[in-house]
Amino acid sequence: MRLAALVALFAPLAGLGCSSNSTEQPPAAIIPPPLVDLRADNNRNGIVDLDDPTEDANEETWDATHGAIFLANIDDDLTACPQKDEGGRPLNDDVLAECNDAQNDVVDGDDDLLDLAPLATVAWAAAPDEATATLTVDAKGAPYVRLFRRTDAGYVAFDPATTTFTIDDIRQGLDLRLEGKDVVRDPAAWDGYVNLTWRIVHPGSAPNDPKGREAFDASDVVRMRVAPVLLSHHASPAERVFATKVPADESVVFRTDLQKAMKAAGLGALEALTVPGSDPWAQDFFETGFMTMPAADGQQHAMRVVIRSANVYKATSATNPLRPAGKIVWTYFRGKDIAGLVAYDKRHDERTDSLNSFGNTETIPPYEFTGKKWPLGRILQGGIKGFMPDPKLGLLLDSQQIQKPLFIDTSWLLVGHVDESLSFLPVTEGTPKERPWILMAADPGGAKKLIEAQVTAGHGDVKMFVDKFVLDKDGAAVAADVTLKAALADADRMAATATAAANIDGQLDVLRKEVGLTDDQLIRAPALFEDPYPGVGVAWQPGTVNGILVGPKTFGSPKPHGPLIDGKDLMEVDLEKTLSAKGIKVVWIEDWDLYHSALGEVHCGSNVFRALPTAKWWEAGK
Amino acid sequence: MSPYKLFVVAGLVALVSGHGSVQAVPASPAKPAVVAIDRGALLRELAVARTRTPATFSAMAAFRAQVPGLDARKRGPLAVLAAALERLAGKPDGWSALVETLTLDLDAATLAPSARTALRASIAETLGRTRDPRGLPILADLLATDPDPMVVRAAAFGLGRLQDDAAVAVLVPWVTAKSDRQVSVVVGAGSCRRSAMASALATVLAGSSDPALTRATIDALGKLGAKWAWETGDVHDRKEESSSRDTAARALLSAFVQHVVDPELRLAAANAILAVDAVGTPGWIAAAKATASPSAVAELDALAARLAANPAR
Repeated sequence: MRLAALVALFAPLAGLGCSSNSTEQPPAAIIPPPLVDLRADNNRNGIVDLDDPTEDANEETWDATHGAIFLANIDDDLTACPQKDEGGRPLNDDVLAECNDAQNDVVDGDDDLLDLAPLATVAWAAAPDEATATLTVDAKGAPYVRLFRRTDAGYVAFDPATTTFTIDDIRQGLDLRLEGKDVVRDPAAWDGYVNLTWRIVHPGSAPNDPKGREAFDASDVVRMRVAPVLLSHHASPAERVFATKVPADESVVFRTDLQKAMKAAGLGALEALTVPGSDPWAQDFFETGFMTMPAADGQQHAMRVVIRSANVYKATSATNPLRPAGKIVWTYFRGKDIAGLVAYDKRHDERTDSLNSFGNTETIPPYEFTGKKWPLGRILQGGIKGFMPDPKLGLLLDSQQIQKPLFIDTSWLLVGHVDESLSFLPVTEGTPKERPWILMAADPGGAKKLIEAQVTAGHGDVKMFVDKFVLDKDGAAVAADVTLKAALADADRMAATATAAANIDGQLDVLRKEVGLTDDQLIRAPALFEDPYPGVGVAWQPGTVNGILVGPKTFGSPKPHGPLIDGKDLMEVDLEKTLSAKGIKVVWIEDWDLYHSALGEVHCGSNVFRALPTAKWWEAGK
Repeated sequence: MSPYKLFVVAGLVALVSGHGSVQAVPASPAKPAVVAIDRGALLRELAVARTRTPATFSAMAAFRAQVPGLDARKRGPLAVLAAALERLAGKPDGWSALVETLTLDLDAATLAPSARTALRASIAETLGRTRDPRGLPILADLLATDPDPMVVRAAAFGLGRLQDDAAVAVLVPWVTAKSDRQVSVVVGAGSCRRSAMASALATVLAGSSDPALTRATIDALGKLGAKWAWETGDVHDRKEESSSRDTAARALLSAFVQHVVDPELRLAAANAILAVDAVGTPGWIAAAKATASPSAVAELDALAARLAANPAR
């Protein structure tokens, strides 16, 4: 608040607050207190109001009701970041990641200016001639922000530690901008807040100066917070969909079906990604998110954030330890209003590296439970003690505060991803307002019962997985077809199916306790499980839960290749019935050869940019 | 040195003691049993098979050639090979083609470490799933000597899946004896649906103070005792079902109470109890409540509620 930190160095001025006495004297001139006023967008209306008292009230604190915000300016608005060195060689992992708009001390074009948070000092026309001013940043936050002031040549960066402003600056007021240089990665190093202090010092006017005033040292403090990196959730409609362009027929088949699903949802063209090694797991090597700050008219100014996975494929490499396909964060996505981000510790336990694939990072849609609100949802990851994702990326995600990760046990799965068993679908009808969504869960027991019923009905010799192969379509010796009787007759498979059923129920139990999930919010996607290696399972049938939500009412699911009963696929009929009851249409996507046979499904092979939610993170109170 | 030694003689396996008779291995030997392969006899047998059925060995070679590609596009730590290998094993002399790849470590020099692990572990697993007793000394050798934890795990699975008395006799001491491969062995041993193994795992669980071993044993008991696995009839002897599942369920319930303050182990034990779904479990839960702390009683009630709506029933 203005003058909150005013230091009273001067004696009470004559006449001020005094009552008259018996000696008649001319009244002393009333000298207003110093006008020391720094303004940021404290009231979060997207502009800096010099006349609105809410812009000034409690500006030295930050909470759910007030407090200014800035972005980490880590996009590349002019797409100026290099991808190769001077010799034409691809840049290595860390060098690629270093470049962004916050790494230079200039404003990178008009778009970049929009990424900077506005500040201003209120002009004090009556400031005494001898006054000088400084604008400083607290020691912990100073390395993470850069300040600019408007000049005739545009916005120019200045060093707040060494800059002293003149009397003209004080009298005219300063038009300022602030950019963040990074997101919060470790609260012990920086918690994302900065305190800016506008200080005017006056040594005292000359004794004979008729306009002079006594010495003062007055300050005004404004507290600001960097926007957290938030992850998208399924309640936000898909806008862009991505899949790797693998040079193989099965990739064409997959992408053609995925495009059909997108068309059914009213989306445009699928974006086929060309990545090193043709890594097909587009869900895994990057995650999509965003940062926002208030904009005019109640809108939000957003910067998308694409996070590179912390998969370490070559820990011994000093230059390129990370999963190569993740470079696409810098080579394809980073640009205007799209930031890249990476955090990893290449010493992390290699046995847990699969947990760093982003199929293991999903987001529970917004909910409220036991008085706690999660308006932007909450990150859901697989991990237990001793079997956790990368600690540095984990700390980064946790440090954003707004979507603090919730962990469930996926250690019983070979791949270990949450998307193998759970998928959230936005359904408002029939769901409570505090959880306007449903959860689709893989249902091993449901698959057993479906198939058992057909065996009982005399269809035990009907086959599923007809014309599919466990190796590939050229592996004629390894046809995958199997009768329904045989599907249920393998002790190991049924043990894996039973333990999968119990373990998925265990995951749901965590969600019941932590999120308030109720059984009427659950729908089931049947699939038998198996253990491809002892003690760790995976869906044996194509895991239909592992699909892509391409529209609020359109779900692209792996084609299950179930048994044909009366000419219809038993598994397709079951899921279509389940989802149509919720108003959701299923579009079947062929993924057997490219994904299912390699332990993944449609979701694993795709990725999505989703619309930015209207909820404002700064109102979350976290 | 252990008094037990395994020999391969003309494709037959004999478990012999110092007195030449088959005996049960003590539950807790001072050292795990040591086994040996008659490598010369094995190689001669493989050579005969290769001459007899070259097409199967060619198919195996063709499969091996695809392993690097499968490894390159795997999702997760290891490519999935077992399903294809199982079908190869079903071909004439398929067992021999798999064993040749394993024992001669074919392509070892050219495969990436993860591909080699996947191939060797998947073959070990498949040898068990064939239920061919000739696999016993090969798997026992892997169990005792292979440095790769996943291969050890698969070898234990394979031995457990053989399920005959000889395999159980080899595997049980490895399960119960403390060693740097005990956790891997225990994970694999869940395939051994025998009452002797249930008892061995229950003993390990009761005495474990190592969280990793505790978790591995919980999961193994869940696999061993899984109701749906026994229902298939794909087991050594269904007469052992009741004792095996009851032993597993009781041990798991004890672990649930013992680790009631550790939410992760408690949840794992609960999940395994659901998978086993022994008839007597509700009564045992009720009995456990009689001596449990108030917080444990609450957790036991929650377990009973989950069991009542058991999705693995």
